[in-house]
Amino acid sequence: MLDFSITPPLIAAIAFAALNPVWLAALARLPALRGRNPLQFLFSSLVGFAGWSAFLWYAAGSGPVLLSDVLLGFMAMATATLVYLEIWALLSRGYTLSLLLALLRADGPMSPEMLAAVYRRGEGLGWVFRHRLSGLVKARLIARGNGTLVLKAPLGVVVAVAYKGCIAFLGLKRTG
Amino acid sequence: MFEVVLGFAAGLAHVGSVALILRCATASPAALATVSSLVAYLVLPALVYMLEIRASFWALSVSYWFVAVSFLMVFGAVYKSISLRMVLDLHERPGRSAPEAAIKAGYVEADGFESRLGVIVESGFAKKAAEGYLLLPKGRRVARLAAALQQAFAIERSG
Repeated sequence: MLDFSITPPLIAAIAFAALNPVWLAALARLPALRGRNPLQFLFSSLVGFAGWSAFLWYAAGSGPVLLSDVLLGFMAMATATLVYLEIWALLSRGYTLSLLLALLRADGPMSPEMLAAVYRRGEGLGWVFRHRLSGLVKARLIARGNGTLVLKAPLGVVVAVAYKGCIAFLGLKRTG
Repeated sequence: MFEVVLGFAAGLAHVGSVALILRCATASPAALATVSSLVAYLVLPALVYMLEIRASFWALSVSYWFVAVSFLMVFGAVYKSISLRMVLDLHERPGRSAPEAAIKAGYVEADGFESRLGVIVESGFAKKAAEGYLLLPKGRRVARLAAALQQAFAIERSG
């Protein structure tokens, strides 16, 4: 039999998780965070977790809070954060979606060359490469110099082997 | 915490089933992974009834979705990440290095760009006409929704 009763820490976790888009929309409009999408998302998630932690602290004042409720609440908030991250990443980094948006703005037929040129409001397709490459260099996975890219050991190699393992495990025939 | 163990086990079973399904099916891997997560979630309460055990719905749901959503995040990165493709490509080249231009041409301009345009056409979002790519009503709806969401979250540029 399924028991549908729910504890206050879990209700609070769901409520704070549900409010995440509100914090995100508000933080995205702060001048200091303008255009810094990853920081906006990080701070909105932290606001949610901080609010929930404050609730737990308040609830602990009026009675014991079970560790199992804290664990479930944390998992609920983490799950919601991952779902938001998936949607938000699609909106802010989606390659295919950006092509659709370029077609919408053009309001007429576009050749592949025109699409590549107007991608990301005129920054062009090369932006994808520069953006992804700078991320990989910052993460110390790749080193660049004299027009050559080199995979760094051990981190880059570990990531490549793990990625290859994931593709093999999932049986994916095509990626990227 | 029996429900957490059951939820985690169901989540891991879902991961295994996706790996199995992807080897047999030809449909979109992303759609298969998503549908599989929903099916596994529906099987979970049925299992509780069949085993005649008492379990918390919320504990079961939260623990299952925690594993399932974490897996979907990893799956999404493995399936679609351009960055990871670049890392793997370098790993498989002699000396684990390559000219920047070769990687750019191979993964971003040719492979990535062409495959994305293919996805747009296959999904019925756009059609390829003699003059070029043209949005279809379905693609226009999706693009308008995305544009509205980008505006709501002050995302000025994407890609």
